[in-house]
Amino acid sequence: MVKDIAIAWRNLWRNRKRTFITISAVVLAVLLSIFMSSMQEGTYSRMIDNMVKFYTGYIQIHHPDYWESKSINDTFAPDTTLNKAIHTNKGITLAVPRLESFALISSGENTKGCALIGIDPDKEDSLTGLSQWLYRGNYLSAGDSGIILAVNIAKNLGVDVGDTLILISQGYQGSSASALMPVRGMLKFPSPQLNGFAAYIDLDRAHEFFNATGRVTSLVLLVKDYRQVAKTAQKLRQLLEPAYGVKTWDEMQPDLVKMIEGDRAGAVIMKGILYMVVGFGILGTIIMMMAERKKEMGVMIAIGMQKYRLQRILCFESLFIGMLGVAIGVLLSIPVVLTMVSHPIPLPGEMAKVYEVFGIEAVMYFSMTPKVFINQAITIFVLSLMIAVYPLLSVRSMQVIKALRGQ
Amino acid sequence: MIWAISWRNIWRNKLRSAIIITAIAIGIFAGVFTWAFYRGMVAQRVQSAIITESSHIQIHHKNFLVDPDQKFFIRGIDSIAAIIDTLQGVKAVTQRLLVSAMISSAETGAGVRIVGITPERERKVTNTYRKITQGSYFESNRKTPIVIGEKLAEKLSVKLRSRVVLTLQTINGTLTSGLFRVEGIYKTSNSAYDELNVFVRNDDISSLINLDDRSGHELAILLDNNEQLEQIAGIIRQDFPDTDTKTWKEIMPEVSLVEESMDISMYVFLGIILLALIFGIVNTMLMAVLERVKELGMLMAVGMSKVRVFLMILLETVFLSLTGGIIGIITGYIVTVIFNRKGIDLSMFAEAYEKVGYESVIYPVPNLDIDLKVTLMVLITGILAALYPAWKAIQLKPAEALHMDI
Amino acid sequence: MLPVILLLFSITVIAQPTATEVVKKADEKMRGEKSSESTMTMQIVRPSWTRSVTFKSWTLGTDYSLVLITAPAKEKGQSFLKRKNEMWNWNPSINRIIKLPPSMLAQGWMGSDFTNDDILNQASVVVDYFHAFSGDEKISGSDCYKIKLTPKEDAPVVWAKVILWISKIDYLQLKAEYYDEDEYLVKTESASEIKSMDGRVIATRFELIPAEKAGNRTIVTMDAIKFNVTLAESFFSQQNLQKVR
Repeated sequence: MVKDIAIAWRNLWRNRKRTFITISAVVLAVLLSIFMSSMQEGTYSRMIDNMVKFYTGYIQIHHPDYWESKSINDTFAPDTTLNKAIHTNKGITLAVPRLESFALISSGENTKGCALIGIDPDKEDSLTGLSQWLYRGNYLSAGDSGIILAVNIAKNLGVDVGDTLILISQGYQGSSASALMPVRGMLKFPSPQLNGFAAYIDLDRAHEFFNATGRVTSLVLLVKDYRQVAKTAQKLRQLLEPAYGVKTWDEMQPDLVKMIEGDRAGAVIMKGILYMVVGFGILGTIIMMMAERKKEMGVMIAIGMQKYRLQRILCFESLFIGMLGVAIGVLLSIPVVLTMVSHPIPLPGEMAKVYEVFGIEAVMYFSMTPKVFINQAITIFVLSLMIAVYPLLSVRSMQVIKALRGQ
Repeated sequence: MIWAISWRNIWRNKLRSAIIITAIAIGIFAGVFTWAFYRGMVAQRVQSAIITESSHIQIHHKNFLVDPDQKFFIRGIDSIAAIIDTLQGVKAVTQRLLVSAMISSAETGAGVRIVGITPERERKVTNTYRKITQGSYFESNRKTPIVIGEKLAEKLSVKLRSRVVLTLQTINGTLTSGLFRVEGIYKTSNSAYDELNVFVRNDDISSLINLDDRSGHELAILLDNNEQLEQIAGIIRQDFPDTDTKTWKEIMPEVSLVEESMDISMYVFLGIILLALIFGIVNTMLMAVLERVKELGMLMAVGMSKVRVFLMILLETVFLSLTGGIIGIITGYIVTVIFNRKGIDLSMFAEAYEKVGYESVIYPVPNLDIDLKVTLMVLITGILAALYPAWKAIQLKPAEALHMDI
Repeated sequence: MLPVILLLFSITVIAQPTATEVVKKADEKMRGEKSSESTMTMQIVRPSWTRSVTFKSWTLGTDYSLVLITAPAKEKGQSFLKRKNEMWNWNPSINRIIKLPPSMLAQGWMGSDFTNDDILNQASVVVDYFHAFSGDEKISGSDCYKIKLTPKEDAPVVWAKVILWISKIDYLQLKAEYYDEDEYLVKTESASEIKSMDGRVIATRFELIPAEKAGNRTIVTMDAIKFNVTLAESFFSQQNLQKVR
């Protein structure tokens, strides 16, 4: 057995060119499939990142009843346990407080209902980049007594920057909430639906308005990587439930999850086609290799080597080729993907414009997650093994006389 | 002469030729099919959004989209609908009344948007009627039926035949209420939509808000196909300049984004396939050259010039590529057309599709023009790929070649 | 013989009103047949907090009413006006009149368990239902008619069944139960502390208990009431909404 392994190894290096060509077919297969997978993962990751940062964040902390009721009465005041849980968790990069509810906004004869969101202007901006949508006027400053609105709400009320608005709502524990606020600025979003959705005020003003000092409806958390979400959420749940409710982005936006799943299904077919092409590349080289060595193998059998032994040797050769090919492929792919990640290729013309309208950076995204590399390495390795069946079959059906003649 | 030799060379070694032809055929097939598949995916995404949400074109009162107040209705909207229905390219038209209201059950109340429809016409334009999970879509003769989303039914703790009261403002500004009975419960893939939209008969709501039944807030138009979108929108804008006419691209710009972003992924993928193909061909040809060392050496020893050997190998590749190309394009086209009829059902790949409302069948789109371009690209690639092995071949020294046996 | 029978007959006829008449009488008794002016305190009880609101109220028939909040300090000065099918709200701290849109009606009035809809459609009990006697019962020692209400065909009400207990002697509605279509009890109202005010015997404490939410209650206490005061329709105006004290 060990002798056969040694023979197999030596066979490979006897004809360097041949071996090199075969291994490179495998290396190429690995490189390309890693490239494609990395790009797919990178794009999904970016898509989730964008959608999530826009509003829900990766994880949110609420009063346990809040997610179902969305009621101003289900607010909470962050206590030391909560603050410690967040600070000590290295995966969390940002914690943004919000106090939001439904309110009526009125100017003159016009009254419109919308979401009223009390925010910490700077923190919120770090999370959602809210200030980039500023269309007229100014963004909120810390402690600001004014209000910024989505552009359609302003249009419906017939107001502009500087006009005064009346806000009415139900406050905490049934008190009435009412206030007068000047319009500081207007926001215009690329999505028409968002343009009539919400108005924002400073968090401290929201505390006064809703009669809910020190209380918030949600704490929105940002994590380093969307793959960390489940782990981080788990840790938080252990520390904080049942006093608090912890929700992850996929629980808060199940429709987004479904959309990505749907997309992945299509991607499976694309990958299948790629495997077919690269698989054939490997098969081609193996077939040619067998053809070229026919005479040599015929001689070995004629001398007395049993077919099954030849097959075993070929098996080991295939194994070596597979392992070497995959290993080299993975090693080569790492710097390539790393470069793509640190120096992303910008998207061309038309495409870039559409992306930018939505506030998404117009580049090609790649992912460095180990999963991508490992999965593709394994798949290609298995593919090579499957292809390695061919030499075995070829040997089995070999007719020695014909082989010796080089046919 | 070279031509004849090259041609016969190909058929002398059937295995080798078969491999290269197959490699090229596969490459072309991959390119053709991928393109068709991608186009199919995009079309399905777009079509899905159009059929469930926005239709191709929507018409409103000039102010309505900015301020969805029910006072911005179009008088005599049904005659506009009748005219548009006769336009060529228009498949179906339906009109709607949109009113915001409060719905209450014994348990609780909620703010909703009432969509007053004519069920028979609505069916032709949207597929909401297929999303009914319980009860029916206005098939009974009950008085004042209402169809609500599953999420809302849960919130209100109601089921089929439950009483609900809609409270809303009439055209004159006074508040009024009406009793409705739940006739059907629907579920789409957008639960926020389900919670907000309730459907009633146009007549039931117009009498409640005191509006004549010939007026409405929204006209939704479904076209025969997407190609004529801008053209028909243009005609409508011309004929009815006082209204606000919008295409789905303006109403749902996010879906447009999906369409655009698919193009770039396609090109990258094609690039990858071509790369794989080049290497596959180079490797196989190199192997072939190694295998034919003796034969080539002999040719050169006999007196064939290096240039001719080079050309011979190149020509072989050209013939092989052409053969592979023809096979590839025909197979690719046929497979695309077959699946275009049958559709590829993705539900076996993802459970996401089991949930209601997300269309899972994709119809690849055949496109002869693109297919030819792809074939050309692959052929050029094949020929380029042959350059290196051909060059390698003429580097052989005849004497050494003849000596090589094993 | 005949006169005795006639006498007995007429007594029975007079003594036995229809269910509808009983409900109507009880309803009018509370509000005054023509008009009323009253001061009330509403206490909102929740598992973790309690709040009290005091207000003055004027009514004219079933179509007009005006409510002015007098306590606590943060809410003081707010007023509500109902004219037929329209409702407005005045808030002095922002100095504006707001017309209430349908979406605001779903919420509880001032955070209580009474909905704005309840306030708007008060005479609903009489108008929207069929009434039938379903026995006699004693509530807190008083003999009551037990009356079952079933909604009329197209009446815009959510209850599938309502049961009222109205005292025979004073026509006071002492208890009410509201059911949904599954015969599930959704809320209960009970009245107590019967006193004499402005020459009438009425209940002065009303408690509304939602069945589902344990620990939630709203209690309204009548502090003072005058019946059939002189009020003109002009009193119920938007100007008065702002001026009334």
